[in-house]
Amino acid sequence: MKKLFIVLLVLVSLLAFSAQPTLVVSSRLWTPPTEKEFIINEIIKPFEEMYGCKVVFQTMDDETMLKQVKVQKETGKITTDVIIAYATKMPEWVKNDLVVDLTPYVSKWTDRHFSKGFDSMTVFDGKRYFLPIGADVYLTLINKKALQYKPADVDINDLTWEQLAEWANLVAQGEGEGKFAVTGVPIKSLIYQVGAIALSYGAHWPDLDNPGAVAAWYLVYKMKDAFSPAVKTYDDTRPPMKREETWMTVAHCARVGEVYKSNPTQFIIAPAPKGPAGRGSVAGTSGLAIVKGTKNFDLALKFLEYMTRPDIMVKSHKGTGGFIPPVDEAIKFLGNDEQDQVIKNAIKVMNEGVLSYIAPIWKDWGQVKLVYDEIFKKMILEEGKLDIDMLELYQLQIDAQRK
Amino acid sequence: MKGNKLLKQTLFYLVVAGIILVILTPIYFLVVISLMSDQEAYDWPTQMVPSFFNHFKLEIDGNKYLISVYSPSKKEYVSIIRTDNFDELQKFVRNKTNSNIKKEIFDIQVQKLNELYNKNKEEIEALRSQVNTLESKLNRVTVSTVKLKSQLEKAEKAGMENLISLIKDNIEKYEKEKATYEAQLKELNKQLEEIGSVKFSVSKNIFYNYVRFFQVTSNAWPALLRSIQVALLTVLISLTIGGMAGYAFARYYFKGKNLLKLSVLFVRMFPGISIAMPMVIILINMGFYDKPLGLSLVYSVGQIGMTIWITASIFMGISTELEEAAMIFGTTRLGAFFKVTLPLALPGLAASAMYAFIGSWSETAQAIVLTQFNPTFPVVVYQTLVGAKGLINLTAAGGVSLALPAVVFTLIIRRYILQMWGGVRV
Amino acid sequence: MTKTYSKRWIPYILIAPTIVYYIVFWLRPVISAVYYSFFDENNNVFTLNNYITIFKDEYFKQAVVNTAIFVIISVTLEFLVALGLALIINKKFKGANILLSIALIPMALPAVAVGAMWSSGFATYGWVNSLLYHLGLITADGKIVFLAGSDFQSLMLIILIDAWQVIPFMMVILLAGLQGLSKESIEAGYIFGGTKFTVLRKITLPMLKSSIQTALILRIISAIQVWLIIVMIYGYRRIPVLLEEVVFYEEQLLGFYRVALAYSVIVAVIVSMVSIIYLKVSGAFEKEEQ
Repeated sequence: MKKLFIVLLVLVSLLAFSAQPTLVVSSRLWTPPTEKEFIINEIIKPFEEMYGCKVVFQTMDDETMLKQVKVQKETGKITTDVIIAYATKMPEWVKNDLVVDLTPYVSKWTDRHFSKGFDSMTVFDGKRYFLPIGADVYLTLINKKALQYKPADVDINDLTWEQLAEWANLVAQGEGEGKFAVTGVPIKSLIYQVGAIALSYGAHWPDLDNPGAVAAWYLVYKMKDAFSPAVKTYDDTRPPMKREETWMTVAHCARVGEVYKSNPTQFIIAPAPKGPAGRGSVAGTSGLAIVKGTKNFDLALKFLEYMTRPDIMVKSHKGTGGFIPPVDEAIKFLGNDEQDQVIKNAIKVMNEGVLSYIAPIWKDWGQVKLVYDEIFKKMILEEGKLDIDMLELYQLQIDAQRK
Repeated sequence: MKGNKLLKQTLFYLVVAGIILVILTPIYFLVVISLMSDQEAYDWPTQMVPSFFNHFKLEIDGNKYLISVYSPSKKEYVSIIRTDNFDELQKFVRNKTNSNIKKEIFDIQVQKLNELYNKNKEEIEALRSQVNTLESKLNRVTVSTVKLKSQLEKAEKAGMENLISLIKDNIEKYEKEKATYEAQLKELNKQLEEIGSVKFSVSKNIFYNYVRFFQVTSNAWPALLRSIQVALLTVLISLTIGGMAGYAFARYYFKGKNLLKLSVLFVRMFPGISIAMPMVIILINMGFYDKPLGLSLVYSVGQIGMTIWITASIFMGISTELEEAAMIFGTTRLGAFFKVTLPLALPGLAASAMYAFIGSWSETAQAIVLTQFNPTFPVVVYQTLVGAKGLINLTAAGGVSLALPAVVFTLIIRRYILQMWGGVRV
Repeated sequence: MTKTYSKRWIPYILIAPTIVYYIVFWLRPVISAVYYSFFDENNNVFTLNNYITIFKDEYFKQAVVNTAIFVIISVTLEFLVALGLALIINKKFKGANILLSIALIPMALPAVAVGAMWSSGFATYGWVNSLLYHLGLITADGKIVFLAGSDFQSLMLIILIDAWQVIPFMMVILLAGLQGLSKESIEAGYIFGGTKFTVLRKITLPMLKSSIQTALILRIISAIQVWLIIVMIYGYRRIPVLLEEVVFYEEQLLGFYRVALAYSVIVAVIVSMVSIIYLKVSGAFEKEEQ
C-alpha cells in the first residue's frame, strides 16, 4: 500500500515536471492591453489546446526585442522562440543572423498566398525570413468638431489632398491655431505621412528630386500654419487626437483605428486622401519569424503556420486595432464582409491605392527618415520657406544611404 | 517688533507652503489622472478632482441608442457610442467612463425613453431636421467667415484699403448671422434634450484603472515578489561587499586609499548604458540567466560604490574607543565588531540598504534582457505600458503602482537618511 | 586613530571583494568597450573611423554645447535651491519633518511615472494649462504651448523638469552636512555681530565645504550624462546632448554600435576631465594628501 502511494506520488510529480513544452513569443504587434488580451484568449488559447503546449506572449518595442535576442544569441541561451518585428527592423534581424530562413517550409503551404507587395520587406535575397502579419496603410481621421469648417463641396470619403489642405487651413484660421497632426519627433512616421501625399502626386517615394515629391512638399508647405503649434513634440498622433488638441490627421491605420474606436461618435474615419495620381499610401507590415537556435523549432513552425492560416488571420485582425491581414485569401474574405470601419477603409486603400513599400535597398532606413524630419523642421516649421534646390541637396543624403 | 516677527514667520511658512506645492502638484495630478476614466483624462481642462459619478444621457437615434456622458470640463453632454446591442454598450461605457451600467437600470431607462419618444415622436423628428438645416447653414457661414478672414489678412498685407473695409463689413454681417444661428441651435438642442432624452447617474469605479492594470498585467503578483527578492539580494550583496570596504576606509590607513575612494566616482564616469549589455552577457555566461541573483549582481555594481561611501561615513561616526573597550574586556576584534559596532551602525546600514533597494527597484533595461520566465515587476509593467500610449490613465495607474513601494521605503528611511550622508566626503 | 591596529593586511582583505567585483563586472566591459571602439564593425580591422564619424557629425558640436549649457545652468540652479531648502529644513520649525518627507518623494519616482507626469502635463491640452486655467491665470484660448519653444527654451524646460527630480538628492547631502555642524561656531558668528548673510557666507558655507563638494561632484557627473528625460519629452535629435547621441547611435541606427562605444569613451573622457578639474579647483585633492 505504502509502496503504491510512493509510486503514485513519483508519477504525479513526474507528470508535473515533465511539463508541456513552452513557446515564448515576443511581439511588437498587439501591444495595447485590450488587443493583447484578445490575442491571448481568442487566438493563442485554442493553439495551446490544439498542440498541448503553453505559449508565453510578451509585448515589447522593436529595439528591446532585438537587444534581448542579440544577447540570447551571444550567450547561447536562446529562450525566445518566435518574434514579431516591424518591417523597418527586419534587415537588422537578418543581418545579425538571428532568424531562420523559412522558404523550404512555407513553400509547402498551398492554402495561403502572402500578398506580393510585402515581399520587398520580408524576403531577403530570395529567402523568406518573415511571414507578414498585421499590415498597415494610412487613413484619414477627422474629429467632428472640424466639420463646421468643412467646405460644402468636400466629400470626406473622396477627399483630395488639396481639399484636406484647404480645410485644415480653414480650421487653423477659424480656431486661431493649427489642428493638424503629424509626428514631428524624428525617426517616427513623418516620412510615411509625407509619403502618402507624394505617392498621390505620382512621386518616386522616398526620393526628393522628382516633380511628385516637390508637389507633396509644396502642399505640406501650404499647410504650414495648419500644423498644431506643438507638432514637433508629437511622437505619436494618438495623444493629441484624443486630447482634441488636434482634429485632423492622416496616419497609420492601427493608431487611427484606436482613436476612432475610443469614441466612434466623435470621429470620422476615411481612406487616405487622393491626388492626381491616385490614393497614395505607404504600406508596412510586421512579420513573424523563428529565432535561430530555438529548441522548439517544430512547435514554433506550427505556431507560424497556425497564425497565418487565412481564417485565423481574419479572426485575429478583426479582433484587434485595424491592421490588414497580408494574406490574399484573408483580404478577399474581409473585403466582402466587413462591419469594421477601420478595416473597411484600410482595405479600400490597399485595394485601390497607389502603394509603395519600404524597399530593401537602404543601408539604414532610420537615416532616410531623418532627412524628411529635418526638411520638415527646417523648411516648414522654422523658415516657412520651401527651397526646391535644397530638396535636391537633401536627395544626396538619401542617395548616400543606398546600398 | 512683534508684528515684524509675525510677518517674517508668515512669510517663512508661505515659502514652505510654496515649496510643498511645487513638489506635490505634479504628483497630485499623476494620481488624479490615474483615478480618471478615459473620457475624463483626455478632457480639457483636466479637472482638479476625479469624478465619483457619471451622468448619462440616453437618446434614440435611428434605430439605435445614443448614449452621452456629462463632461464637467466642457459642461455639456458628450456622445460616446451609438448601438442597439446592450452588451456592446455596457462594455464600451465601462471602458470609456469606468462606470458599469447594470441591465436592470438600463432597461428602466429604455422603457422611460420609449414612452417619451413615442409621445413626442413627430416633434422630435421635426426638431432634428431643423437642427440639421441650421447646422448646415452654420457650416456655410463659418466657412465663409474664415475664408474672408484669410482674405482680409492678404488684403492688409497688400494695403488695399478699399477692399479691407468691404471685407470687414462682410465679416461683420456673417458673424452676426452666425451668432443668431448659434443661439437658435442652442435653443433647439435644449428643447430636443427635454423631450427626447432621459438622464441617469451611475457611480464610477474610482480604482477601475488599477483593477484593469493588474488584470492585463500577467503574473504581476509573482513578479512583485521576485522584485522584492532581487532588491533584497542587491542589498545583501552591496552591503556585505561595500560594507567591508567601508569599514576599511573608516578604520584603517592603506596604500591607494584615496584612489580607491575616488573609484566610486570613476565607476560613474563611464556611461552605464554602454556597458550594461556586456555586463549582462558576462553574468549569463556565468550561469545567472533568468535568476534573481543575476539581476542583483548587476544592480550591485552601481550600488557598491555608494554603499562604501555611506558605510564609511557611518563607521566613522562610531568611536573606536567603544571597540577598544570591548577588546579590553576580552573579546576579539571580530567579536568587538559584531557585538559593539554593528548594532550601533545598524540603523544607518538599514538606511543605506533601502537606498540600494530604491536604486534597483524600477530598473527595466537590463532586467528585460536578463530574465525570460521570471521577470521582475518593472518588466511586466513595461510590457503592459508599451502599448498604452493612447491610455494615459492606465499608464498613470501603472506608474503609481510601480512608484508606491519605492516612495514608502523612502519615507521609512527618512529618519536615517541624514545620518547616512552625514560624514560622506569626496 | 588608524595606528592602533597593527595588522596591515586586514584592510586589503576588506577591500579585496570590492576590487574583484569591480574588475569582473565593471573593468572588463569597460576595457572591451574601449578596445572595440578602435575596431571596424564589419571587418574588425584597427581604425579610427568610429571616432572620425563622431567628430564629423554636425550634431556632436551641438551636443557638446547643449550638454555644457545644461550642466552649468542645472547644477547652479539645483545647488542654490537645494541649499536653500536644506537651510529651511534645518531650522527645525514645526513641520520640518513633513517638509523633508515630501521633498524626498520625487527621488523615489521611477521613469515611467515621471514620463507620464510630464507628458500629460506639458502637452498644450495638459494639466499644467488646466491648472493655470482653473486658477484664472490664462483663458481657454490663451493656452501656453510649452513644448513649441526654441531649442534653447526647450532646454530650459528640461532643466526645470530635471531639477524637480534631482534637487532632493542634493538637498539630502547638504542637509546632512548642515546637521553635523557645530552650533557654537554659528552662534559665535551672531554674537560677534554677523548678519544672517555674513554668517552664512563666512561660517556656515566654509564649514559645509565637504558636503558641498560631495553633492556637486556627484551631480556634475550625472548631469553630463543626462538623456532619458530629454528623449521622453522631445525624442531623439531635437535637443542633442552627449548621452542621448550615444543611445541614438546604439539603438536607433543600424550598424553603429562601435560608434556608440567610441562616443561613450569620449563622454567618459569629458566626464573625467571635468571631474578632475573640479576636484583640483575645489581643493579636494589637497585634503586627501594630508
